[in-house]
Amino acid sequence: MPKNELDFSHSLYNQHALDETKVAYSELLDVALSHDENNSRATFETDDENGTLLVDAFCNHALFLTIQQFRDGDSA
Amino acid sequence: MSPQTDSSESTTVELTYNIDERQVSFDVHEDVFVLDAIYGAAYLFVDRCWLFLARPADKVVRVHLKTKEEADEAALDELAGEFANELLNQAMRVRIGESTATLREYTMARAFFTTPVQSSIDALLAELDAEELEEDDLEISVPWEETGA
Repeated sequence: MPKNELDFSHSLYNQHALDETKVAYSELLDVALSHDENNSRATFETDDENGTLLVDAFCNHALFLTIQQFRDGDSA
Repeated sequence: MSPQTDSSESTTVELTYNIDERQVSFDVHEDVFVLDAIYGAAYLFVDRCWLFLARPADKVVRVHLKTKEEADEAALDELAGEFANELLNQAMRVRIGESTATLREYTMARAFFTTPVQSSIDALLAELDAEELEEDDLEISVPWEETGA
């Protein structure tokens, strides 16, 4: 099963937004999140041709939630 | 498109497109466009294309835009150009928001914390009610024939 890794900088992506996105996509996408001081590393396990699409959608959702939380006063 | 802006502080903005299939990437410097403006532009594009932001260096945001459908180089160039335009638009919004913040705070404070003054319409309505009550205590209308009898 192919793995795909992405690093989300905490200066751009809210950690809570990433966690929320993981929960939202839990039934669609197998993703493991590991957090360190500056980044969150997402490891995606994709098993079909829709995998790339779902990873892209995951990134959009995480960014969307981050912007919403940024505007609500919770900094990224 | 690779616009450059030189100011007295030698601040240079370089937008470089790394066109790879359906994806275009470019760097945005936070010295020029604040994160709020970058977020504002990204928010408007989140339903149009796939976005991913990365931090290649301090105060630099790498924006990755990927189309949802097949696109040639011209389409990607256009997408990146539209994003850059929106970035300028959002930067202006942020700057205007900051410059008018005091005025907005003053207006809100005055609206919420000053003594309520009865509006002119309310005053007129109250005056009319008072006049009607003087003429008829129970506010029961009387046909004109009976009043003339």
